[in-house]
Amino acid sequence: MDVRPHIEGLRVGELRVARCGACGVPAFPPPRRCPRCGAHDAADWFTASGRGTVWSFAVFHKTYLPGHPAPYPVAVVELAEGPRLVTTLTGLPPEDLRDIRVGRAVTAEIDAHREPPRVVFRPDPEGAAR
Amino acid sequence: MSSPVAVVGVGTTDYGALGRPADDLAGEALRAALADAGLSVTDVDGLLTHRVDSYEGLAAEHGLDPRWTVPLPPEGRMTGPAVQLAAAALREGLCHTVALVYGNDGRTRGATYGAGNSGSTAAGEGYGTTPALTTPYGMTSPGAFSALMLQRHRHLHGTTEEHLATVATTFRAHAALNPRALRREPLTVEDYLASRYVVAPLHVLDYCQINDGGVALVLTTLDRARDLRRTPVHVLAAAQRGRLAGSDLPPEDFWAGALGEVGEAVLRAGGRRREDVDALMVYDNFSPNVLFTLEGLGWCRPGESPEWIADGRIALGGELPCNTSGGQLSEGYLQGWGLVVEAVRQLRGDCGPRQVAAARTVQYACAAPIVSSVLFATEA
Repeated sequence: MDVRPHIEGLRVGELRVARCGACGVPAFPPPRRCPRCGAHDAADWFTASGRGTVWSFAVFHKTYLPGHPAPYPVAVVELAEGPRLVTTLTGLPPEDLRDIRVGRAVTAEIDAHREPPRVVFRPDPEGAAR
Repeated sequence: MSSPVAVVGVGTTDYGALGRPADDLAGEALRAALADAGLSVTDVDGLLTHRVDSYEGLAAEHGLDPRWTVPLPPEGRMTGPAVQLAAAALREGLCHTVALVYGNDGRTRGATYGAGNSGSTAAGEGYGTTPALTTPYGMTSPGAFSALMLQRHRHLHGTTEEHLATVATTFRAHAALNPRALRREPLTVEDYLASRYVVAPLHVLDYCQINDGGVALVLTTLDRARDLRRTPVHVLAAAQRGRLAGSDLPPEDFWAGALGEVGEAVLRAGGRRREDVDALMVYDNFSPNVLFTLEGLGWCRPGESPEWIADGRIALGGELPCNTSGGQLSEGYLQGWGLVVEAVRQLRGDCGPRQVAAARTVQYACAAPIVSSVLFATEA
């Protein structure tokens, strides 16, 4: 799947994701054929607001990959516009990882200077107005 | 079915850290399955291999020049499709006797299923097709994918660690009755809760036992099977459904739609009702999959599996004994093949202290990006 628009967006500080340009269903990463309406090569890349909620998460207590020492969280975040993406959460000290909840409101922060660039999500203050 | 198909031989090696190549283990299992069937390699004209390094080397080593050869990619989701494919080849008359041969040296090789040295495909590292979107965040391993699914299930349905512990403790109790099992020491809920996390909310005891071993099955048509030394075990039906589109992210429905479809398909094709199933062999690479499979097959409603399993239903003597060998959590991880062999051994009445009384119909099911199920029975 072509994810270059996403990666190139992160390099310039934008969170670009995709939906089907024909029917509007969120589809990220975008397949060649829309899973709902069947349109071909119809990905509509757009810049998301960066607002979202935690759809699920897990906390790694084992180090698998160099550069990712445990413990650290991995989350699936559902963006306000619909697409979901695999990401990590920031602003949580390791002892607070237990406080993550599904449904928690989060906001994107883009680290454009890292290679590859990343989008991570910071939990909004509890009870913050959206 | 014009030409019914049966399992006429099974063979297994020792399990554990064996220090032998996968193809060597596969070959030993092949010889054992043929001996069990009372056949020789010259009787085999179909070969299906899974996880071995070289189907060509394996065939050459054992002098096989089949009319039909199919090597499958190494993911465990291929086991149900393997049986389905071999049965279809037999029904179609493409060959008359198929050896299905599996070998795995993951434990000796140091496979971790997540750190990039499993010698396998992207599926060995985690589900999905687009590592560029996951590895920068430290997302790796099929276990982490299962952990994400479990966390979602906990959120929707209130599933607790105590609920999930039932899977590991029940299968461990089964393993205590199986001399082949890797983990036979008693396991309590307290032991489970005190065990370390790997990728929370999964404890280490929710992970299967990485293992070395070989498994082989010999399948033939029923007319031939009747002349052989072992009582045939019928392959009543097999079905699969891909959930490959969108597989980069955990499935919204815990694969329930696909499980329901394949479950109904095998019961319908096999002329059985769900109540006829005497035991279920569930692909337990990680224990949450047992919950998802029971819900998807319709044994209980979505979200009710944590309560449903709580009162011994999936234990020997319960309403639906599951993974009577100890499963991949305690007997050892052989990507479904150990469970398929257990189904056959139960139907032959070969399981000694862990025998399900009067077992006549046993189902295999796997929840994964290719969902599959196979129905085995003592009679057509």
